[in-house]
Amino acid sequence: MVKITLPDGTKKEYKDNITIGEIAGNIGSRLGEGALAGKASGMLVDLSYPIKEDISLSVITEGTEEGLDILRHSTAHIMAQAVSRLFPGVKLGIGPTIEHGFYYDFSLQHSLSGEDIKKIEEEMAKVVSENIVIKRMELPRDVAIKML
Amino acid sequence: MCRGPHIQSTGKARVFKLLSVAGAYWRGKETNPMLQRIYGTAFFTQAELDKYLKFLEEAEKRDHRKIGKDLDLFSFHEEGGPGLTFWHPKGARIRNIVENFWREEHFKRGYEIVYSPHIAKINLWKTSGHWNFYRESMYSPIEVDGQEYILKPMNCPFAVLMFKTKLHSYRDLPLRWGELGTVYRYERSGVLHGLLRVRGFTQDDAHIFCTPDQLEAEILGVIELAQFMLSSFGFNEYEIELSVRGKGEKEKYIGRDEVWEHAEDALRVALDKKGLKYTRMEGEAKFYGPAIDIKVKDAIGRGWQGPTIQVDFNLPERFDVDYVGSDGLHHRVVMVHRTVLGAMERFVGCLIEHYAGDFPLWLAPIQMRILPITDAHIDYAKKLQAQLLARSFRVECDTSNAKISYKIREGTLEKIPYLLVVGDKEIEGNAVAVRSRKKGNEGMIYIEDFIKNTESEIREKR
Repeated sequence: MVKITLPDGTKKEYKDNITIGEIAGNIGSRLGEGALAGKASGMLVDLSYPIKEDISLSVITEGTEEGLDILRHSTAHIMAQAVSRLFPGVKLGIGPTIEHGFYYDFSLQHSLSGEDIKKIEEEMAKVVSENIVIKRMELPRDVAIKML
Repeated sequence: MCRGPHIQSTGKARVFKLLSVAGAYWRGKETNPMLQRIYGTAFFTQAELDKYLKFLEEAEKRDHRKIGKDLDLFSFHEEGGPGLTFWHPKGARIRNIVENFWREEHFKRGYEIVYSPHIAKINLWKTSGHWNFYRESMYSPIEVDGQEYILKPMNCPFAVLMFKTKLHSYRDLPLRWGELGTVYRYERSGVLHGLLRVRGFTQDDAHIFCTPDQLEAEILGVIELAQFMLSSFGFNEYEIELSVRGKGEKEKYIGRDEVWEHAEDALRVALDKKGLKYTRMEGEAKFYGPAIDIKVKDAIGRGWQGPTIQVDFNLPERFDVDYVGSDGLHHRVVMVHRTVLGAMERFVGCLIEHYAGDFPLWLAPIQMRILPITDAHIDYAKKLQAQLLARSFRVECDTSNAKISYKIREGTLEKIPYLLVVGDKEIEGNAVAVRSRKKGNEGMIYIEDFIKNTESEIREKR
């Protein structure tokens, strides 16, 4: 069993490996629907993160600063996905969030035009409509490097 | 590879927009290969995205580089080099008005004005500590007679040398010395941006030399001056940061702990006394002392770096600067560096964007333009111009051959606050037909009345 302490001090107990998303849904259906991620003992984690020890938890919902940052970060990756589909062989740089949005760096022979940007946006919309699940994988460093 | 966290599925990222593409260097180093950077944004609701896009549109209209070009205010030249500003007459006029106002208000508050050299022997910068802590921002030495000199990145060591010219008594203090000092700092060409990030700029600098007891009152005085200056330019909203040392990074800063704590306390107490809200920023202090930094909010809510008040217990140490106390003994003097506007370049750039080029009358480089309807009215127009010039207005006269509608259009594009049309009716009535940017067509007004009204508008900085 793991003990979860919520921001208002209430403590709840759950079986080991319960995920943040499941906890949010258990606390309330509205919280479950609006949940984006969680802050487990100060660390930002996905909803699929399994809890293996006692933690303090606050659920990050839509409409919050932190939620917005996570949304933008994910959107940056969706953009990278779209660019990779349209320009196979593109090398990806970094894609951080910034004050009012995000950016992503690409190493590409072809010089991107306004038309390309429109196409990338359309491809991004496709990625969004495919509603692909974003899964967390923890890999040892050498396996990860091989995958890339 | 990404640490995350991420949204659960891509379906949640429905509201987004790609904004622009730019060239970027891998890890920001100009010797690395070039990458393409795509900027974008995302929001939870379409309404928020629309609001943001509108804000971007508005910001683009106000871009000081575009307005600076349209209104012929300033330029940059390949032959001059990046980040080095050429101020054209109209831009220079605005800067001049700001500087005159700055000087007047400083004299009123017991400041004196000084001027110091633009370069100094390398040893001065070694003594001050700049050669150690500020080297990346300083340009290469200039050789004169086998001696190395460096272009000043800051004015402070010069103020110290002037102060040390004679041994001051506590009775002389506080001394407040202002200098519109031009400094040069190296910035990578990729980050240069119009007037806002340049390689040479003129700071509205001042150095206050005082006793430890006088410190709090001096800081209060600077805060009040800063608030007065900012509101005179239409800035009434700001965010204040108290920049202090970062924890566990003591090698980055020069000076003893007690000295730092006294300085940080003095700033904090002054802010509390004025009832001002501020954020404590750990790690943001300069290498020689803690500071109060004020960010002003412009007309569309963006923050701009404005006044800075910096206590400095270290230059007096490094230069061994004392004063004689009432006990007849030597004591270490306290130094405060401050700017209330920042730098002329950045401040004028900020003014351009804040007003979108529509300056209030007291700042407008050309306040009024007389438009004679036909050549027959030119004589009268010129007499009127002389009359207005004698009352210290910045007034032009459009004696070109064009139709009156064209003259009005030109004057409007140039954002001139008052266009004064003169024809037969106006000559007869000893009046002008006034078209004002703020109020539109005001019709015929007697010249004397027009003069009185505009003189108060200027005086009240409306």
